[in-house]
Amino acid sequence: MLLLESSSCAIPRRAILVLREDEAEIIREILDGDKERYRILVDRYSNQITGMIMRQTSDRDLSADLSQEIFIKAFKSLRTFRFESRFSTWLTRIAINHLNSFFTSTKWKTRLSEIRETQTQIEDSAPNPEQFHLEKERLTKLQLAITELKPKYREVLTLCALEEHSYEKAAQILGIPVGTVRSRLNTARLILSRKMKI
Amino acid sequence: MKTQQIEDKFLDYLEGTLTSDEQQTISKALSEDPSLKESFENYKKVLELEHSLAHSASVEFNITEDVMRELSSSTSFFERIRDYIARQNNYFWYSTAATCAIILIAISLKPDSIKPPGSQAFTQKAPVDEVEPSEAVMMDQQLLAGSSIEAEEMTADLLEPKAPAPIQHRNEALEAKAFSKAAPAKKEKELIERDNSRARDTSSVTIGDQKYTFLEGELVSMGSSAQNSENPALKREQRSSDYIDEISGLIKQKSKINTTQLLSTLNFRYPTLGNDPIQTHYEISPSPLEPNQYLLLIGVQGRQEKGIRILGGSLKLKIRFDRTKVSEAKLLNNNLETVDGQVLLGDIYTNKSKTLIYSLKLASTDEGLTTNTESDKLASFSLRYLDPENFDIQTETDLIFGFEADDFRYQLSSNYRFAAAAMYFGIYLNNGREKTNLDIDKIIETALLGKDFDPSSNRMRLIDIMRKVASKDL
Repeated sequence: MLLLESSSCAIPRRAILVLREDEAEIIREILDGDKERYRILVDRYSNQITGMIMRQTSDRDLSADLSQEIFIKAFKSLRTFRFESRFSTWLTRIAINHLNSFFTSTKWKTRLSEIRETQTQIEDSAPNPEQFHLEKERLTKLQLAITELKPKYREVLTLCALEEHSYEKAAQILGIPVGTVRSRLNTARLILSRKMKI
Repeated sequence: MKTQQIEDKFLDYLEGTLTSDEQQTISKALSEDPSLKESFENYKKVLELEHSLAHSASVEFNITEDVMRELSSSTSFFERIRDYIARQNNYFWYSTAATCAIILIAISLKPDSIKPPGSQAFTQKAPVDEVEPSEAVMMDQQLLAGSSIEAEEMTADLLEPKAPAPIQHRNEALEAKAFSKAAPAKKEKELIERDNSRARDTSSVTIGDQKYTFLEGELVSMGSSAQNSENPALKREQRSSDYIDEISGLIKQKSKINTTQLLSTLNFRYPTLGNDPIQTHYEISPSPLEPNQYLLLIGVQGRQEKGIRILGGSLKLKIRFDRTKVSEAKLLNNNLETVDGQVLLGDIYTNKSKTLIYSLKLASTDEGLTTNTESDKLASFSLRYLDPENFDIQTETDLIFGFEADDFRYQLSSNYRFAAAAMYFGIYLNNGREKTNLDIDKIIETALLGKDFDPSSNRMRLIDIMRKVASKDL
């Protein structure tokens, strides 16, 4: 039997009389050749995407570069956009995939060892724990541990914990059931808590 | 339950989504097993760090120009062909024919093709002899194609010929479309740029006629206190942060609790949905505190941004319940003005939320509701507000629900639990502790289940007050 239970959801909007133009229309115009219209979408989502990368890499320049690559990749794949989801959902999926590839690249591994080296130097040079910002150190450790997670765990953790999307939204972006999102999130946190040894 | 099984339920345990039996089993296991307890404490610390990390990078980036520059410089090969055809349309067939001729001549002039078998010239050119004829043809084609961009494009024309007439027609159509869209695009660009520059400007902001400056995300008035008092919206906003501190005093004086202000002070952070300036969130469930009632929570939230600014002024919310499904609907928040069925919510600021809670009685729950179909619309609501440019914005939103009871996806959020507990705590006090049927212990229990991560300690402070009320210390 079906019963009224509870829901926590994004609200489907029927008509929004705002200055923003309909994204689907913008995308159609871009596909028709009006490349300049892509500027609106980049403006709209660049902070969201770059922020998401920044929260994982803590490197402003690197985040901006990766974000740029993601927007270019999205532009080139725009013909595959099927207008079945919001552009932001589709873009986030591209960003997640791009980051999955990046975190296994030699470039990131080199960067990772640089970060670790710098961190060790800071720890060694700190005369006492008070002087060293423990919280910051833990955050960096967590960031590094997150980038080392298997992609399937990193994805859910990024979306649910760092980007604070609802489980439903994360499930929609990743194309997996909500239950899987929750169980992967739990596993990701267990892995992190063991790795971190807080 | 084994340790691993318990660890697998940490998330559910923290979110309070387990059955009371499971919840108790885990609590017991945690109190008895030190290693499990340590694992759980580490898990919670990771959660806290995640939260810090989630709020650590609120930096503005401006990559738009770089992306657009990169896109214009990396025009694809076929786009260049299309542009070339469009530009050279009148000469398309001439150039195509010329290209064919050049390639044919090049092939016909190849030494391989003209050499007489066993001739002197052939035997003396050993390197050429080592190259397969087909490779030699390719080399020549590449040489031709790479000689200039134009040659490359013309060769490509041959590789992928396109009918010129439809393409020309298509390009004309595109030009016309681009022209007609030029004006609104410019307008939107300007508006977006203005909006972005305002968001970037974290040094000062003007609200109403007053100018304020930011200090670490806090808004500080640059005018005198007299000037400050002229802006009631801002004053109200600043005052609300102290409301939990005021509650103990209000209880002692037996003054009414302003539940609207209490929920605003708690500033529930709802899941972010896209990049809209004002976002709405709803959640509905059988009331955890009153039998035969349903609670509908509506959260209206300003976009997360650095600094404080108004995203929507004079916001009005109108809810239309479907009376065939809802027999009774009562707004539980007090101190809220309603005009023509519209609830006046005032201004919505960045990073701030306002929460409303309705108590509902359904006409009939026996039949149940089907999932997410048109017939499930229990209510719909609309928002109306002035955006920072003073444009009158209206949004029309459907409220749809009806889910299977055993659908694990739809569990109560901690925000919902805590908001319900805070609301009923206010009602408990306002109705007179002795007169009400509400159970304060149940309210505290619900609040504890909804405490979740509490960086500002507001939730814990309120729970402490609830406990004092329960033990009659207040």
